[in-house]
Amino acid sequence: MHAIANRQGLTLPNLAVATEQSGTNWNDRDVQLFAKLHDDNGAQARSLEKIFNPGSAWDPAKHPRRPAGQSDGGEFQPRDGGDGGASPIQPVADHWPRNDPDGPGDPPKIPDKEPESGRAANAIRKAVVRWLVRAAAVATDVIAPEVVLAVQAAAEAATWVWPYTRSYFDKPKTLEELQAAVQNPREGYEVHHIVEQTPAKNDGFPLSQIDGDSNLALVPTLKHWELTGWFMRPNKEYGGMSPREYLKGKDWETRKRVGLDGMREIGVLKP
Amino acid sequence: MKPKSLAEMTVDELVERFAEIGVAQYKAIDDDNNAKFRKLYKQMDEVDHELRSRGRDARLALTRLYTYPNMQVRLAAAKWTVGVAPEAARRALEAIRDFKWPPQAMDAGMTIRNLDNGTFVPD
Repeated sequence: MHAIANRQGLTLPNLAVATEQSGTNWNDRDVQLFAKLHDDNGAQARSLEKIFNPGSAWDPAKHPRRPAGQSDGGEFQPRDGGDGGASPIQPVADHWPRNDPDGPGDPPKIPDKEPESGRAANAIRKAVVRWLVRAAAVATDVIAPEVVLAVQAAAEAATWVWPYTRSYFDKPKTLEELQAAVQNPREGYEVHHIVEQTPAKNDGFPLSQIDGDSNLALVPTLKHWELTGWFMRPNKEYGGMSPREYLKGKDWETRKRVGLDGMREIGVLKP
Repeated sequence: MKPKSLAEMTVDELVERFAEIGVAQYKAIDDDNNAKFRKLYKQMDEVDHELRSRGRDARLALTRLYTYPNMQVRLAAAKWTVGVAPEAARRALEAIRDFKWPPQAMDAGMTIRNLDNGTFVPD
């Protein structure tokens, strides 16, 4: 907790912690490795700090909790007579479990040797990253930190996996940085067309524009795949069409706007 | 025993069915199975149509899924209810985006952008 708080500039809450050593001994490297996994949650943590940390703006009178001893003890509840809107967390419906999502599933198995099938290798790379990111998002009583550390260590040791894992956790960059990086391709990264190339070709845009420098960016491979996946899936906000289908026939600026927004939301492009 | 048609299901059963489809969508996404996802999307749309035919309260029943323990179910519930519960649905979308659970977080973020820029006109 100290390591994560220090990295993110947070004040530690006044919570009781274990006073006896049990389980795995962590060294400094283990602690820093694990703390790093939570870097992307920093903005969210800082915004929640004001609500949840004593000594900050949190006021128990404004954000009451259900009494201890109940099955939902400690959870936030609406103020009496209020509409629940003042609580930082909406009351959980009775017949669904707590607000936490299901955990990320069993830790992925990472073979020492890269599978011969590219498809199998890519499936493992993707599973490893998704597992690590999802594990970092859930509470530590869902996934023990030691388990997360073990998966991260196994990913680091597998040279065919690590470049893809490490690149996924890159901080967002400016468009200029992403465009300049195209000149330095490396493992774990792919050249991404901001305006998707095949649909643009099909709609008659010139190759010079599609493959021009302003349309290319070097992005983490696994984020590239996530972004491409989003473009391919039917989506409610596009009337049930996929974003790719929606953009057919649209002008270059509209395609570019969607492309750049996607890059921001996937976390490769600075806001 | 023959499975019930959507028209024969109670609202609660339709909400359960919507959640089942969402869980299957989550797996299809993780398995990169777009063909499967497309089939499931149509099925989800059919459930939504049945709920719509029963009135606003039936549609609002989907808001129970905002805290379902599967991110794709939460995301789909939020998207399908923006038209009847705009503020709550938006909060649900923001929570999914901020939870940073891939790939639903990115999807939720784009939905919020599309609401703000007018691409997504909820009904």
